[in-house]
Amino acid sequence: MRLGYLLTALSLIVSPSYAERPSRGGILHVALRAEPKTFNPVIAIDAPSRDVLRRIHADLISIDRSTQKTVPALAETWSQSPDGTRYTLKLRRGVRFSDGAPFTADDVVFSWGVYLDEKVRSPQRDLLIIDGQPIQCLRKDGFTVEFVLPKPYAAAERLFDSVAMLPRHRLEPQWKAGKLRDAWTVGTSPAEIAGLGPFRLKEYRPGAAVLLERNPYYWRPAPEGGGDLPYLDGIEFSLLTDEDVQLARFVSGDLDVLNRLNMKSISYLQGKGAAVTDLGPGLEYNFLCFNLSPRSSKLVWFNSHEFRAALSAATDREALAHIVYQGRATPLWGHVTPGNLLWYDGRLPHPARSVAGGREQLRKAGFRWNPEGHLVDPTGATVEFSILVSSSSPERIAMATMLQADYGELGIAVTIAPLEFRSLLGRVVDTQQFDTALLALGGGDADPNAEQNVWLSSGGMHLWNPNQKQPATDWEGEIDRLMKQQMVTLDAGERKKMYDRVQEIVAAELPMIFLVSPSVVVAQRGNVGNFRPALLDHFTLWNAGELFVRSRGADAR
Amino acid sequence: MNRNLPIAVLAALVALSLAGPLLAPYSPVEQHREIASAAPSALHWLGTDDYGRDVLSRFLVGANWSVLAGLLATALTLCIAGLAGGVAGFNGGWIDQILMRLGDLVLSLPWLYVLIGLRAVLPLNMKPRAAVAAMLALIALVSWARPARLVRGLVLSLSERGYVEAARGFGVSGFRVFLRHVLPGAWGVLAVQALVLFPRFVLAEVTLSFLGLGVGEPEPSWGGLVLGLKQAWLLPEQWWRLLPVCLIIPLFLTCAIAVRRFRASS
Repeated sequence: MRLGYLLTALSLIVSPSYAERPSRGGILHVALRAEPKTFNPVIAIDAPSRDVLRRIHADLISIDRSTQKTVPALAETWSQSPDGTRYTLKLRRGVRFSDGAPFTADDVVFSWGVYLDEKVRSPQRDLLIIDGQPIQCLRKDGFTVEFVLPKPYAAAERLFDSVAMLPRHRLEPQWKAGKLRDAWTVGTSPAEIAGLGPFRLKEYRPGAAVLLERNPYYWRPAPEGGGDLPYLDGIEFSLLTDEDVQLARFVSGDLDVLNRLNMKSISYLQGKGAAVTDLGPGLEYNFLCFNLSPRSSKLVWFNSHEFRAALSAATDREALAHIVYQGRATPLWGHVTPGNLLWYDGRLPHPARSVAGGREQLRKAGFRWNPEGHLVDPTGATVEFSILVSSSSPERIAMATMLQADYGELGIAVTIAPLEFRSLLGRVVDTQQFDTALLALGGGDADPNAEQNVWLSSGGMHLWNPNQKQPATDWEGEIDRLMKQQMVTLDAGERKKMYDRVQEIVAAELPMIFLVSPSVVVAQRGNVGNFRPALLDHFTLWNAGELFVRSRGADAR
Repeated sequence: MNRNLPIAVLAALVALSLAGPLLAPYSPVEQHREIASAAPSALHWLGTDDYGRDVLSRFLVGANWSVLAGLLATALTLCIAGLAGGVAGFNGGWIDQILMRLGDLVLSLPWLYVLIGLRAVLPLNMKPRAAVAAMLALIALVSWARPARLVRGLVLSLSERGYVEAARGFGVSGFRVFLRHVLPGAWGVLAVQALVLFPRFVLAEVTLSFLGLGVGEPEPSWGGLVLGLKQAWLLPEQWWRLLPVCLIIPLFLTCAIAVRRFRASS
């Protein structure tokens, strides 16, 4: 099976379409699953915002999604000091923001200051702090910057990926006024937003579309002297919250690319001119997250390890993979998926589903069943909770429906609460007004450091109990220690051991019940050139600057 | 065709729907994942859904909830409309002005957005039926204005009839005149409105389910069954997904025919 995926990936790399001479112009039509929450790359955490913003902004060093290795971006070259604590980056000269202003070392220093500013509360901040000490950014000259690390850092080069460089001339006043979080909202005029990515914001039509246009100042040259990038005139992100509508629009030719395909629709697309690619298990992991924060109204139950273990034992992961994803998904017992070849810990136990085992765990924790078969806690209260799920994700609603039945076998009454995605995110991340939530993470980078803000107890995305001042439990303390330690360990084998231990702790303590990892299946209409889907997010648009659309005339030829 | 025939058919359909839970051959919520998405067979006449639940049982039990919800919302709407329209038309003056302006305000409300906002603030643990009952009560509260206007117009004209003037002349109290001599004249309008509103409210449940705000899992409802049709691309392979819709159509058709008969005969 793995060989099959490898061959598919290989065929994509050497496919004739990639060697084809690109044509210029045209708009690429893609779908956006939800409204972007912001156009501010410093605070964006929702996928729709990031999908748009990563086409508008650029970083110093990027991760090539197809090779998963680092490649030069705004930094043309870099060097490392012998002790591994200093990185000197030489910036490209002559680079301009999309508003025409020059990009210099001052913008890098400014950007770094913003991301590290505690008041800004950027989700990337945790990634830029090693052992409690921030990575310093020093200006050496107009086009040279030096990053000073408090300790050697294992994946230092990867840190720079997706840390968007900001225009100092545009954002410094807001930052100094302490209002950077209010800058570049979805209501901001596109003319006020400047970036270094291949595209710039042209128009945002709330409820309809986000339009990007070609950045005339884009700095990356086309390979083999092919002129300037990007090839496209623009990208139109149509807001289509419903996957079925996305599919209908794709079949009718309104969309050129589907970034994530509903597994049920694959057979439907056969013979309709769509090129479907199955890349195998991705990095995304679906999970049921308990609210273990002090605000949780069900904390007494959720704090019981036996209670969480009972639910995990009753979860039919195989059925989730088979029914919800038509078998194109892998059951999970930990948060690293088999798609992450370097970091996956195959030794984690994969206990078979056992409702009887789950009931035994509950009995041990003092839970009982009333004559009607409902689970009651030691105080006699009936056990019931809700699963918060995005109303725009049929897969997660289906999984919630199956979990409801699974946990019903334990005598637990589960209510499914579908909410619009933004309301859901607000409840989970900001107010912690939920019992459990069915969510998905992963896909950013294969390296564990990409999820520091998820696994560190102080992280804003530490979903079960975010922003802790001190770790609430011993095992969270151990995870904190291991995550910080692996971050400064240069030996790859040692790092792997530490992260394996993190996976073991998370799998044993179960603040989240891991469910399945869906395969990455993408489609295009056959009119998109340089199309090189990858397992890392964004699967299809990661090389948007190089994509081109074949004209109908070219198709005919 | 006899004017009462559509009404009789409608009554039979409603009775059948209300008896749905008694007729369901299987549990509508029990999942049998080994037979998920199965085609119609002797055991499962309408096949099974994505989780292996019997679709016929879900249709019958769902009918009970959808029809009951439609009936209750219709009754509530007409009570409010009859009272508000009757009082406004009979009394006139400032009472009429206030009630009709209130009606204008209600008519201007975008009920779908009001409902979405309501769902976001409802407790997450609310039972599916309680959540939908709250939604339908809200629909009723924002739907009374149009029938109330019709009732008001009718009551205005009835109030000037000779027999009403005569009753007033004999010293009958205003309330009694309204109840005995005016309101009965509005029954016909209210009956037609009932036939118009009932299918609309059943459809409201379907709409809410499309938005993920309808009857929550695992409770069955017609909206939930129709929701599966959003995946229209599955129909060529799984044609039986259309069957529940084919069974729902007669109810709406009969309502439409009954309304036309009523209007033609009045």
